[in-house]
Amino acid sequence: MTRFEAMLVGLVVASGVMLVQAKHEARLRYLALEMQTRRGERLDVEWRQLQLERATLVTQDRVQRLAQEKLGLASPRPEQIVPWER
Amino acid sequence: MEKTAVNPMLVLAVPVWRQRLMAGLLLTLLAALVVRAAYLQGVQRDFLQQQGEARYERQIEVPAMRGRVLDRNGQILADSSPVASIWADPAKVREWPAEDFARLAHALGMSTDELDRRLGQGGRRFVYLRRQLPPDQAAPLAQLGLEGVGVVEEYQRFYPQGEAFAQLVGLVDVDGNGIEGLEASLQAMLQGEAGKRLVIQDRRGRVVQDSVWMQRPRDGRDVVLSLDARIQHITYRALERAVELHQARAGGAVVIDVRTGEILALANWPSYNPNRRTGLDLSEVRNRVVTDVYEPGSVMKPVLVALALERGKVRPDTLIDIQGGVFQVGNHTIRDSHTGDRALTVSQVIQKSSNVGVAKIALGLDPKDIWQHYRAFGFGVRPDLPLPGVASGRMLPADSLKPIEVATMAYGHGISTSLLQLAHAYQTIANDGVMLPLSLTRRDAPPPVSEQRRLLSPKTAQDVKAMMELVTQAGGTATRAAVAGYRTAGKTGTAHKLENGRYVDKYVASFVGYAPASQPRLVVAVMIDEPKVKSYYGGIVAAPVFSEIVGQVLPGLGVVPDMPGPAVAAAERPRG
Repeated sequence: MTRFEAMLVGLVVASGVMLVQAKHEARLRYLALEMQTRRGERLDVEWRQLQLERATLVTQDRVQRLAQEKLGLASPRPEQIVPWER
Repeated sequence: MEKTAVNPMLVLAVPVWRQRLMAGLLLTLLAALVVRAAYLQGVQRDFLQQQGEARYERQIEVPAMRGRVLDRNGQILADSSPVASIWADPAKVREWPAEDFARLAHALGMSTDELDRRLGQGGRRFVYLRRQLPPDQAAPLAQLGLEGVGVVEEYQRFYPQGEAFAQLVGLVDVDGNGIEGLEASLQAMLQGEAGKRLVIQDRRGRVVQDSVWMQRPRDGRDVVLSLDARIQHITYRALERAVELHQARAGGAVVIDVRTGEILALANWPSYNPNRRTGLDLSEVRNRVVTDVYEPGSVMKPVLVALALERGKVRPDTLIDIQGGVFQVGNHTIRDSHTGDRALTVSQVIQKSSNVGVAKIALGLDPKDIWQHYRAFGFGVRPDLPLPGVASGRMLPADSLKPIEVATMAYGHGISTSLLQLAHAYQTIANDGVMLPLSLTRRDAPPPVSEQRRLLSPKTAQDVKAMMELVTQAGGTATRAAVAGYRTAGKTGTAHKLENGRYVDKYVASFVGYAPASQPRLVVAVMIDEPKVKSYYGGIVAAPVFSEIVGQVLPGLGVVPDMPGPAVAAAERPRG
């Protein structure tokens, strides 16, 4: 066996090891990606749920009740409205 | 010297015993494989087949998210949220030891008897145990890891605006398909398309290994309506108060933007909470404003008078002999509810709502012309709106109209319409005679000129508008439709109801009008079905609803009052 051949064998072995390493890493990365995708989906769902929650909090009925009962606000009478012309 | 040139590795000097050893080894291995194959195929066949079936590649359907329904300002009217449903294979669950059975029942929050009932009898392999649980409640069940029970992801529909929008937005069934209202008619747009994913599942139906998407789900599209949640709530509450005050059977109200034809609010009473729909009553689901027709009564009068003005038969100040409010047509008698007047101008006929007056005006016109005029205004024609069950209303056939039929049509009897059709006719008058197609989806500008239809000359429209403004002023039938700060106009209606072809002492009180009168912005139509206490007149039952809606909505839209009160006149105007 020449030194050249021995070097080739060494390279083949090394590339094999690297291949295994690369595959392993790819698998780990893929798992991480999947996890992040899942997380993204979960956050998406949560965002939609929060939007829905906000929608129930800002309904006219509720806001009007809070404004009148808690804050003592009232709709302005027409004579209290002064139009501001530009 | 030659020998040294030969590579020692290439010299074959293999002893015989090595050849034999190799051959022996290979044969032994081969024999081992044959024996193993025979063993698997023969002895362990059943076990292996079972294991194979347990882990298999399967296409699972991934549901698409249904689109949202939004109001014109982006407020959510309907949205979907993920939930989990628990299913079971009764055949498998029934083979469980009692303690597992009890554990499942406990996790589901039901008794073992109830669980037993849910599983049912007979050979079904799939039953839902619980549907639409919040995902965090379903998670522990999935972790029990019991064979024959699984969790599927679904979506539940939520309606944050509740009962005010119930009939219009509609409902979906438990599988997420629209069955009422816009949910049903816009199904194709909202629905989306389920995706497909290839996965390997184990025998408990759990996904062991995720693999490729065959097709990603395509979520449904959002729909932006023309409706305004604020105006809708004001309309719904005002309607509800009136119906309760007069102990009426039902009511409806609709608000239309005069300049764009957009429907801004559409409310019905009775209503229901679309988020909790056990024991739904059909009468609560009906969108009366568009699906129910009735004889509108005097609300039709301005439409008839508009034709007489357009044809030059009368002018607003033409005097009509009212004959004290009693008028004979053939062997029928037409009466006014406010009697005693000898003669009224055409304007006063509208202001005081004289049946005799409009009947006489109608009899001076060509019946076919009236019929075509009504038709052009949309009566007897199905409004083009994407809603289920939109009613077209009815008119008598044009060719055989008798004089009494012409006379009654003039004051809105012998013709049936929906409240929406009336509101549309008033939109036309308020918009100086130009009818705009109605819309339930947001328009940011008036529809193109090709879709606009001029039905009255501007002069005629202005004359009719001037008459209708008298209605809400002193001496008119609807002084309660007045709004502080804004000029209003409209027409009342108090119609006897028809039951089995006879008029009975039940009424439909209505008011259709617009505001501000100087530059109409909103048409508001209100109908109260069978008011029982206090009053049944449109001017007393329905007009205040109009006033309440207009009074609350116009300032919110930033519409400048066109009838400044004394306080505004006195206030110093800021300079902008």
